[in-house]
Amino acid sequence: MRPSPSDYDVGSAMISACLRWIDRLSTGAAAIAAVCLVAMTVLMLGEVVARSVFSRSLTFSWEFSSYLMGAAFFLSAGYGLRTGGQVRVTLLSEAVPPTVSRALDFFSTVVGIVVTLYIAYALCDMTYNSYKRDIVSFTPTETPLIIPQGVLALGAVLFFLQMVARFVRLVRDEPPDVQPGSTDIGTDQ
Amino acid sequence: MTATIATLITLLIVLLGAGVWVSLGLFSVGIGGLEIFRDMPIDRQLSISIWNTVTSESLIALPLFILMAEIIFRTRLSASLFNGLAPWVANLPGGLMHVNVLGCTMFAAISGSSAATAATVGRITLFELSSRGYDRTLAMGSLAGAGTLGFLIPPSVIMIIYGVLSGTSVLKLFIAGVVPGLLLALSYMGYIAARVVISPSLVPRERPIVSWEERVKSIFGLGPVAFLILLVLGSMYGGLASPTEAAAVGVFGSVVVSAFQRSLTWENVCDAAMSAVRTISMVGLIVAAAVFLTQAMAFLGVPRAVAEQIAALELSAFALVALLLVFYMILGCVLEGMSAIVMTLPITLPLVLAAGYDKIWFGVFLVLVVEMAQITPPVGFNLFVIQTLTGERIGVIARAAFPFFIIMAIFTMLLTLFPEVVMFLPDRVTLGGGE
Repeated sequence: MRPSPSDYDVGSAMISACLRWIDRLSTGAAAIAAVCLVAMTVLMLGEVVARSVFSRSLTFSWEFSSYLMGAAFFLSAGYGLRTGGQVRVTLLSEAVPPTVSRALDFFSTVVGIVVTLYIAYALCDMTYNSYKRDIVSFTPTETPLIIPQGVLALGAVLFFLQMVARFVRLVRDEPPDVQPGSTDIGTDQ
Repeated sequence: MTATIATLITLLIVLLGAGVWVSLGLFSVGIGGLEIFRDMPIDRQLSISIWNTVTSESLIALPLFILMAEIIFRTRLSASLFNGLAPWVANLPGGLMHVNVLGCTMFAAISGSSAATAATVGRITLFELSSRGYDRTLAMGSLAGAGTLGFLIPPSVIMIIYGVLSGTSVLKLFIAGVVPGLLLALSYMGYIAARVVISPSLVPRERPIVSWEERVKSIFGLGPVAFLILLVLGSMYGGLASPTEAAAVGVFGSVVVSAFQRSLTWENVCDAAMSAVRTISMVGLIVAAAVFLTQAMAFLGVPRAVAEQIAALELSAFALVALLLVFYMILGCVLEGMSAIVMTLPITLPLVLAAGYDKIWFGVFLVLVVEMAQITPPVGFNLFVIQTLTGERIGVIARAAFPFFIIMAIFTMLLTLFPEVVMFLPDRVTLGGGE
């Protein structure tokens, strides 16, 4: 028999729902990053064909590829964190007793929250500046930089959210990292 | 100045030691250092630095080569490589053990990463060798050692990163890696042969009789690898493509091979892309963090101060490099190789240049250092790969790999004494269409 849902249970369920949503966003962003990666490949192949067959360079392919790369780096950051893909030194945490290693993980995650928040703030601020001053790239395409920079900022915000989610998971004593492809990372439903 | 350096190093050790993610740890040290010792708008500096790095055109080859390796890993390329090489080495002293080295050497010419090389080649060879009665220790050791060739023989992810951080031509680095890579592979084969001559029980007693007909037939097994090498290296050295374009051509080629071998399924494609994405976010953020840290250190005047202190020691150029080698060997034990390089480069590169060594030479030196770090416990990616393949303990694998570590260390010292071995090709080859 389950007791009737108290306020605590409702709050806990809401937190779980938030965590699931952050996971879904991270996985979705990583899927977009994968599409960026494929698009970069296609653009570069286009450049090779254009240069070798038609002897002319596609002026935009290098530029757009570089934006796509930046997008891929940042959009996948949260997913990389959640799936344990971001390298860290585990030498000490594996050598000490579980309680100490848990404390170290808390410390690392708090540092992570502060740094990712700062990076997200810096990138959002840069994007806002590009918007305010209508900054475009110094290339023939004159791409408004708010677009590629905004994607970077978005990825950085997701990275920050995933770091906060990690902290919440540590508090609730849930496993903070999962295997890639696991059903726990927003690929369900 | 001593206080500044001490603060930065303490911060770095505390953060990374506690388990803060390497990229975020490097960002923290950069931000923290500027925050404490300089009065300047750090957020602007940070965002511009990140933006410039992650959209830098010379870095584009990096994610593409990573994607290519992920696609190849999901093909049957390693099986056909084994079948193609086996008849040729069966009668050498050491027999099929050489497939590990030759397979990794060939695979390294299409793969930019050392862990991918060890994983892809080892998936087949370790099973085949142990089922035929070859010594397990030598098989694991030679795979661990030869797998690291993935970084030295072009294309190379580490060289791309070094090129971006140091402002060196990636293409020239790629050319410089060829001769040392082949010499190192030969040294490994020599070691295997010598070990087997001394203790013949390491390999099965009877040698198969291989006819020339079989050998000629087996060449077809090497077809897919040869096709990819031709696409990637051929397009670069032929002057048709820059390393970046060659990487894109390589991705295309690996998709073609995958289709031919009937492993091109939607599931494999999605897996490869997501797996690549997971790796590139890690590498991309570390590179961005390293560039920012480099700039922060320069603002703080750290490289100059360290250079002055080292200069006061009046070391010879050789002694300096030998000292760096020992330093990196120790660092490589606790840190993953790429991280060790990127976080020390702002200090060590100016030192080595001042001692009269070339940027390209130092790039090759660092690649060898990273390779050694790949097989030193407790943190060595190739050891982890072989652990996944065999289920052995890290200590056992590390002991098996130790002779190959020693070979690399001696080899690196020889390259320090004779830098011409590295500089021979890049000094003589001039190419168009480079970066």
